[in-house]
Amino acid sequence: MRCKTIERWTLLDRTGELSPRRHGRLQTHLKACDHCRAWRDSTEAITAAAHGALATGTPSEVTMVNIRREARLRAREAARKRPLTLWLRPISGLAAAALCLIAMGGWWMRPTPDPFDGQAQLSTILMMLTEEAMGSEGGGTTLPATADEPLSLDALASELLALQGMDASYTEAELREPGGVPQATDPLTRSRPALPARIYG
Amino acid sequence: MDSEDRRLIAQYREGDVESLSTLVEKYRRPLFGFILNMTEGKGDADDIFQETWFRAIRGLASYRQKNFMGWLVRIARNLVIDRHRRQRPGVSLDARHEEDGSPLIELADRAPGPLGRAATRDDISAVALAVESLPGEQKEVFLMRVQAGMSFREIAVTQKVSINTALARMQYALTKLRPLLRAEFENQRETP
Repeated sequence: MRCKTIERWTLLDRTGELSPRRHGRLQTHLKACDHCRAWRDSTEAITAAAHGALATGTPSEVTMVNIRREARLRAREAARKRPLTLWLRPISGLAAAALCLIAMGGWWMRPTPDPFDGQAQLSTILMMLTEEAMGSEGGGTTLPATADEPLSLDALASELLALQGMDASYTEAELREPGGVPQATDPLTRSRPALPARIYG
Repeated sequence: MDSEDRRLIAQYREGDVESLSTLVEKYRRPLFGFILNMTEGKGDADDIFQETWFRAIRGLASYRQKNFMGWLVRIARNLVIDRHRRQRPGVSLDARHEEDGSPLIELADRAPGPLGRAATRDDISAVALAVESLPGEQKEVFLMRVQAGMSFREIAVTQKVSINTALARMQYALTKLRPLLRAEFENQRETP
């Protein structure tokens, strides 16, 4: 092992910064190496000599008085601020909690997106129904607009009603009237038997 | 930081001014000694000692360090460097380099030279003279270790260098001091 490394380890050992494993290796090396042992001894002697001989002195009394005055001043300032700080701590905590609650409430009450995507879905349903009607009647109908070229909402609604065997000219009151004009069937669930499909053209 | 320091700092934060006086008293000698050896004379050392404590008092509210003495020494060191820069503006810190390759910063203005100062100070010993003749960074490491009792990790943090650089500076300092102090430590070795 290089003696230069051992010198550094000796310095670290004095400050307690050397790991126990390296401490063991250092002791083993020191037992065997006269040079490193002499280096360690001279280092300790220099340190001890310097410790006693370096200028120490004490600061002037004026300096000490100034420091004490500054300490009193700062302590008084801190005492003035302390009650405010003590009040501010719970308030800031409560404010943070309230903000969290508002954020959570906002997320919870956010508007849910409409599952029925208006015209596009209506147009798709219409296409499905039309294809079904064409299949059962053997053709002869006019295809409605595709999903890519959607009709207006009113036009789609009247087409849908026509496919269900109802006239678009029926009023809502007539549609709701029991025993009157048959109710429209839900095109998706088909909860009621559908009326015979009307042939277009 | 030892538990006593922690307790005294906590008490001062609660408003007990006496606990700070105890802290000042506890670190008065090592801190002032460090500053005195890094500066030019007692007047400068007094100013820097006072300013160090002023800054420490202001910073105590947010103090989170582990070693209180190390923290004080860091403040004092920065003040010494600031003062040195004010006194000698335009001195390039990169102009000279130490043996370990790091830039040499001469923290204490040694204009009169160690021997010249020795002529004006009767109390200065051969050891102090030898320490004073060390290059700035090596002298700083030596004083932080011997006088302030800082660990090499703390010294490295203070000097913003690696622990190996701090150790190398101490090694160089000791290598330079050894021949200068041969007579001193020969005497010490003879006395049991």
